[in-house]
Amino acid sequence: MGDSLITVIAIFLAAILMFVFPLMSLAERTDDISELAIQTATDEFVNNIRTTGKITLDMYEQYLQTIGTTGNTFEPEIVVYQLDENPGAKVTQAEMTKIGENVYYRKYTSQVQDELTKTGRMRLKEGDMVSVSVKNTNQTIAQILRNFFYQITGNNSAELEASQTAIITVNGSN
Amino acid sequence: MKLQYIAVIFIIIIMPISIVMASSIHSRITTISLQNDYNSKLTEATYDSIKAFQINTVNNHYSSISDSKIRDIEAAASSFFNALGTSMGLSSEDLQNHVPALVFNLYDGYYIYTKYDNSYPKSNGKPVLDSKSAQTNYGLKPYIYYSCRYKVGSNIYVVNYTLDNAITVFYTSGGASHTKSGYLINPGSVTSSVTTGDIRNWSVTYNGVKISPEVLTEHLLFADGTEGNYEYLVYNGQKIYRNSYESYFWYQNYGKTNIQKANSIYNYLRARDYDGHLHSTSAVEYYANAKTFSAEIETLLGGITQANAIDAQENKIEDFSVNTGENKIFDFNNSTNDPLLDSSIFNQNRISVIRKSIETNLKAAIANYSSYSSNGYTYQIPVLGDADWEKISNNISVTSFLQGIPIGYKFYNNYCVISNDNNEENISKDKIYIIATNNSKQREYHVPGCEYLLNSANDYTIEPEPAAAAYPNINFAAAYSNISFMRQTVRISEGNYKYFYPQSRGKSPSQTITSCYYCIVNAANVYPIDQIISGKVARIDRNITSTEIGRLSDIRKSYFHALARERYDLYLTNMNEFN
Repeated sequence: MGDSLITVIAIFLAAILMFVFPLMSLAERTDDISELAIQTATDEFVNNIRTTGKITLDMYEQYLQTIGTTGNTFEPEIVVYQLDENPGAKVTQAEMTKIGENVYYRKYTSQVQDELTKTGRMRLKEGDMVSVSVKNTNQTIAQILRNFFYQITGNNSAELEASQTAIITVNGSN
Repeated sequence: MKLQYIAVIFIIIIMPISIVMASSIHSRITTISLQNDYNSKLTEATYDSIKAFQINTVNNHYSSISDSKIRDIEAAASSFFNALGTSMGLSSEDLQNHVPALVFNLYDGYYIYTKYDNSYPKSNGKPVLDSKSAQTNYGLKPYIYYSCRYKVGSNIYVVNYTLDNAITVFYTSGGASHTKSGYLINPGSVTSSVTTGDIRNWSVTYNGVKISPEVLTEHLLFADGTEGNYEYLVYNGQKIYRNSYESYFWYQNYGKTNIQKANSIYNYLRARDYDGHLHSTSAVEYYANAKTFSAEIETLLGGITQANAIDAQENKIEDFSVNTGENKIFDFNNSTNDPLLDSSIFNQNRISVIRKSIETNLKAAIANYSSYSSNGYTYQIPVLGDADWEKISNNISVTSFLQGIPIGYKFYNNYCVISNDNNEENISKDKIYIIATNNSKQREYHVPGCEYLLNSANDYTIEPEPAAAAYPNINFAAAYSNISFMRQTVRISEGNYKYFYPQSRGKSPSQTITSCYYCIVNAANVYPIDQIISGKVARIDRNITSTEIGRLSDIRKSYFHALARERYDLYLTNMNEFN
């Protein structure tokens, strides 16, 4: 009886050791690589925007395609901060010693997407900022396996995350 | 064998594999993160470099003079090394071993900042370049023009291109050398031209728009704290302001330097000072000269196609990036060849020539750099993308290369191109802003393609001067280049600076000028500039009504005046010397 119980436990442990742990380890490495791929794609996308001064539909679709090749589904969030120097210009006239305060207006993902689908491009100017962050919306194999043992709850449960922010360096051409 | 043993053996096999794999992946992740980090540092340092160039040229009234330009570029290069060195924790000397080249693209040519051999040891009495010499310098190599040689029969023409529609042609004819320099337009687009006699009557008609002498105004702040609005014109690259009738001055050292009556410029100014205002004739002269020049070029080079291009050894150049085939480059009667438009054959050739010239010289510079280096790394020019070439051939730009830094399992090798359009080197088509007054009597500036300004349903008046309505016969300028809207600094003493905006008229809300929220702050609701130039405005998503472009003719009038004037007023060494 005692031996049989130990054998059952041993088989169970062996199964975990032989299949689940290697699988988990492999799945986590795959996620690392996927995360690296989306981080690189996000960096490239943002760098491209900052040096060309515009977001085009073509650039955006290519970005979505690149992150999509990891086999996961994603929800990119784009925030564009548009610099308004007008308050500064007015202040400088009234008070010469003050350099002025600049204001940023924000445009969010849906507004950016609207503009891209409408005109095919979004022009930005020098001094604007763009911030792109992306998270996976599906469950990766590593997440499924991990949830089998322990559950992670809350908003920050995404496995694959990447973000990049940059200041635009040039006025976008037409 | 018992099951437990199998499990243990399995673990013994799997564990090291798993550990090695994890470590290998980790090191690759570190490498790529480092690469991304360096990319971003390179971009920032390159941006700092071009920003330094911009600030130096905008605040330097002599920036167009060659010596002064070299100083500005050297300052920009040291900003690059300082910025990159600070972020990477390396000294400038260390970085010079990893930066094979910096390319500064200017209006009509470019400088390459790299290692070069400056020693010429003698062999049999003749100087020989010793490529293996250790006596290398790191600095600016001689200026290279964007030039291309064309051979027609036995005649050779060298054409120097620029970032816009200006060219210079060198050729020999009848045993004598000739040089012609000017702006290219479609000569047929200028239909009437009067540029002699009383300046009041000077005018040209360009694309149906009447161009006449105009009054330009700027706000100035002086070191003594006084300020005011002054009419001005540009003569020989320098702005000259009108104090009152027959009294003129230069704005130097934040003060007035009066122009004496004995000065040769005085008569030029006096002839343009009539009806109580100082008139600039730059726009009229630009079109009149461009028409004459373009017609001459058509006669001289009209038959030239890409097939006529040859290199220094007189071999045909066949690997241009854009193949324009049998199309004649300098035949402007062809409707598809208006040099102002991006799609023209001339423009495609211009871009191909610039690209070819930079590629050839950069390859040589980086290969030489490799032979001067002793660290064993082979420096090579990376492949620059089409988007990067577009930036390089249309704007002032800095291209930086960073190579040979070990990052984990490989060496870092990348480049960065940052262009800039806020400088006094080049007036690109996008750089002109139109001034308008909105219904609250506030002055705003717009890009010519602003959707809201074009729409006559919106309450705007394209009228820069509050007093303009009282002088219906005076043509007040309503558009200027973007430099006129940038903040200028007056240095009173160390730590005491004052600021002003040249296109602001004063301090009250009706006098200050702000950027339009629809087209500049938001930078989105804009029609492409080529549509404004050609007068055919179209939207992608639907047809537009006539009200939506109700102000098109007024905008085109202001735009054509401003583009011509600002380009004509640039100090261009070639043109001023040769013509």
